[in-house]
Amino acid sequence: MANRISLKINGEAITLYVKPHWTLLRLIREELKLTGTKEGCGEGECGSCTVLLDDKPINSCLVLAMDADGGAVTTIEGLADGEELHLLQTAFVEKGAIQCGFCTPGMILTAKGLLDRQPSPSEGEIRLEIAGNLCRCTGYAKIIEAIQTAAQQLKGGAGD
Amino acid sequence: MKQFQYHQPETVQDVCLLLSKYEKEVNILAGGTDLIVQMKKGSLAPKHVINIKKVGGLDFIREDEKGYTLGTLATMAGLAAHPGLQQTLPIIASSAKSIGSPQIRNIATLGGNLCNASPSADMSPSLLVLEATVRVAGLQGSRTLPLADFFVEPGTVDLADGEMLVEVSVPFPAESTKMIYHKLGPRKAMDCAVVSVAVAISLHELTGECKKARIALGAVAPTPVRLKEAEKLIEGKVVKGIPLTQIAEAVRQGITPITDVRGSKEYRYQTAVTLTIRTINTLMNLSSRLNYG
Repeated sequence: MANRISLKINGEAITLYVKPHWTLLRLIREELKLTGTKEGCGEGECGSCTVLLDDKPINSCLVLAMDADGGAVTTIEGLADGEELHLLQTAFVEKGAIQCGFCTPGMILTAKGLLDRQPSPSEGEIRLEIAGNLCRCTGYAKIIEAIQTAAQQLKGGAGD
Repeated sequence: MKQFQYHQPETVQDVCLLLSKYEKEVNILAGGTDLIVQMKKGSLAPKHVINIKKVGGLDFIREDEKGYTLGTLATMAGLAAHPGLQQTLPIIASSAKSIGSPQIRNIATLGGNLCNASPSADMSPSLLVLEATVRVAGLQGSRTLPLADFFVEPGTVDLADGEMLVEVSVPFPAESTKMIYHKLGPRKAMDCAVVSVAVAISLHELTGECKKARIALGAVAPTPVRLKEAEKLIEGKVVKGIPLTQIAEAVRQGITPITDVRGSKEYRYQTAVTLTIRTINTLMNLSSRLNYG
């Protein structure tokens, strides 16, 4: 049995039918074909499925699609403005914070969630905030630098 | 995960009706950080899932002159960031902050942490030392009971068919009370406690004598436990006079840890004693002008 839900996905209002046992992750990847969001563990431990739901980072593998009804979801695809990358994305690229790239969408969205609430995070605060996003490649150093750089640039009014 | 019938009632009464109707074949969905994981693993396969998040007014954090009342759907993120709680009941905020990751905390709920009844649940020891009570709603009305009586065994709380937890009440402790929640484990985040200790102590301002002590441990027994014998050994004493050997023995007698993937029984006995004594010492040495949480 399917239920109708309405939500905003990267700013666009949509209505669709979902089955109750579908997770938001499944909705995003399989129904909406937005495959930037990844499934790593499927149990809320690795963070590669992180999206913003009503501006808060959440593990989309643990949220039922039904629970997105009435909400606003932002995936990694929603960050760039047309061809222009978000400052976070540019910082990740320029600082070498991306190796295989699998953790990157989730990592960037978590960082966005942080910077939206706390524009001047300390290194310690950044580390705590990305605790739910595992990276097997980089050792996190470049990721943290990229987030710090983006924070500086966003504050400096270098444009969103 | 297996398919199920999904319900999203809008009142507590309707939740209770559905719980009562489906008896043992139903689970409540709040944050989902425990339920969905278990359903994906197959360890839970309810035929009916009741999403209680459409019931309005269950996610509050409310202060009055007596203390705080916390709605069952208050999120860990909400509790951790609440300035009033950080100020007056800091271990509630710090316990919530110790759970999982920011993503988990944004959806995980107080009610879920308590009702999932893991022996290592992080909200439990702190709420126990603060002598919290819980209000449970059922078809016949609601009842209130001490949190200490709510935990039955791992995975089980005192909720009959048709009942749901609605709120947790925490009275303000005496003004001179200092408190700490310490979660011991190999990681700084994303982990369950191997041993956890919550202590709340109120000291006489001038003499430093302990007027009241409350100690609770997690992850060392089937449910979180108050160490009442250890509490009695500290009350009435100053820090120099606390009987360490007797306290160590009282801790050992009060817990029944097991060996599991996170640690051995012996390790847990050892660290429970050390952590408890260290925490008591820290709090009793604090001047009344400092705050700890």
